[in-house]
Amino acid sequence: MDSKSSACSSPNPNPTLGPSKLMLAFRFLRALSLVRRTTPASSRTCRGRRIERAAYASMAYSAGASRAWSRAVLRRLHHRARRRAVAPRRLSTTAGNRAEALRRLVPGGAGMDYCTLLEETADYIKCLSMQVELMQGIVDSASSYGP
Amino acid sequence: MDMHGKDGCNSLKNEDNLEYNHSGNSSDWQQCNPSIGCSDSGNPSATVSQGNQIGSTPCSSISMADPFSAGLWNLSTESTSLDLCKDKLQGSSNQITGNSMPIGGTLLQTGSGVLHPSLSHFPSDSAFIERAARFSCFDGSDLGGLMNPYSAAQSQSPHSSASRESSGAQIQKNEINMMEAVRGASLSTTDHGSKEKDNSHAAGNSSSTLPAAMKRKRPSEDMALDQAKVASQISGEMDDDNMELEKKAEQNSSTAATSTPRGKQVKDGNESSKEDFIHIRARRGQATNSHSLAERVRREKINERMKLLQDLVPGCSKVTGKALMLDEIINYVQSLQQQVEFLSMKLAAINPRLDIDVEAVLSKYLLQTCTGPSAAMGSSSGIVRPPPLHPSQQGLAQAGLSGMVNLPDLFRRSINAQMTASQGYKEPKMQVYSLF
Repeated sequence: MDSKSSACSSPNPNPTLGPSKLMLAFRFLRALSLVRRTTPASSRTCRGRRIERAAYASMAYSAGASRAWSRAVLRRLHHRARRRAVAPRRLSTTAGNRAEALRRLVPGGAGMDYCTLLEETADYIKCLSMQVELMQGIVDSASSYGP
Repeated sequence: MDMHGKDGCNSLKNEDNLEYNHSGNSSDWQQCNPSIGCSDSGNPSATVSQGNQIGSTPCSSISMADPFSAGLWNLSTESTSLDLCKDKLQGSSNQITGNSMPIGGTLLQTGSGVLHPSLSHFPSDSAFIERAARFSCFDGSDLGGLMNPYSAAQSQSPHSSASRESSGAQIQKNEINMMEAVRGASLSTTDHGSKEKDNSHAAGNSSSTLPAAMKRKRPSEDMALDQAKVASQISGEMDDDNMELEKKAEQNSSTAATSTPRGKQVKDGNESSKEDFIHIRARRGQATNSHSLAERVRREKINERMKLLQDLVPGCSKVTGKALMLDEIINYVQSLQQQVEFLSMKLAAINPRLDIDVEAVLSKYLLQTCTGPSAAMGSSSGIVRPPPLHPSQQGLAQAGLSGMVNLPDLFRRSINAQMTASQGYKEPKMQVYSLF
């Protein structure tokens, strides 16, 4: 985790255009390799969680510090890295207002007004979908490659 | 003669009652007409003979005048239709002296039916009463139309006259014509007590037009019964109301017609000028409070964002409504997060293969049409069109490369083997991904 954060320091060159796919792929693959190298093969769940965190970190770094949600993600990751606690993120929409549910889902959404929340949600969705595609591609290639 | 509004004529056109009178009195009218040298007489007689077929104004006047003329001229030949009026007329006519009858008749003979009511009521209240009673038989709508030509003459007060002046030129014309006819008629008539009264009235009328009519009405009202007075007042009020309503309606329609295009133009102008969020003009019909303006800006911002989200979230275009869309968005975000978790588990489960086809993954990933920016896609297909950001990305990749350490040789070898087909700009990146 710490190595990951130290390694990825290059800022997003195109904040206005949104998250860069190339940079996302670059960062994530690099982080993935790092995780594979550092974690022991026995602890799969631990590795899985690390990979997930790596995914979010690469997402946040590629999105850049201009986004509120990316800052909140990195903040959370750094705090969690220190405290070693993983908070459950499964939420339900039925619990109260829809805006509140959205706030809980989007990182850093608690301290935003509704207008900014929608904007951040749009960017977050973009990044998430890119990340999912990348990971899916990797999984597909990895699964199809091997016997 | 266009003394009356068409309303009165139309309302009475279908009155079967009057047809009797027309047929009954046509002969009388024609007999008396030559004696009077009034130019107006020609028209009403012609119209009388033709009955109710004429839609012009004289028709109504004549039709209205006919029952009274019948009543006044030939009490014996009264039409059966005028039952109520007949009774009253008979009762009233019995009280009327012989003076009034001929006067009424002569005055009637002068001929425009328009004259008739104005003339008939002041010699005797019998005709007036009868008319009032007759009008009370009709429904309100007819009354309004009927009384248009008459109410002007029958109104008593200056305020009603003022309202009439404001109402329409037709009524004024009617009154003026009536006054003139009355004047003519009164001048033609000679020595009678009531005649003198009529003359005085006529003289008074000749001096002024509308107010004279009003003044004339007062003594006539004194003579008239309460019913007639009430009827006239009602008619007058109705007339006023009708005319005022018509006027208002016209004004409203005209203003509405003119305002709607103006409003639209104003709206378009305002909307176009609202791009700068500092200078916001209130749209037509909206509050100009600073709070409401800011609210409106905020709402529009939110709507813009929602539209963006609608494009992002697949399957959200069909959904309409903020709540449903929000639900869809929340579900989509949740599903994406779940997918990340699942895929990371899967990645962890995959045996740490050393020869992951990074290039294939990358090319497939970068070429994938998704919500990513076009720059990234452009960089992958750089051969086709040189993306503007490509050099910067390449530089960044190389910069990132410089920070790389501990690249497994195995991976590098496998990737280098696949680098034969790769383009030049991808080579540095391939080295990066030889981490595996």
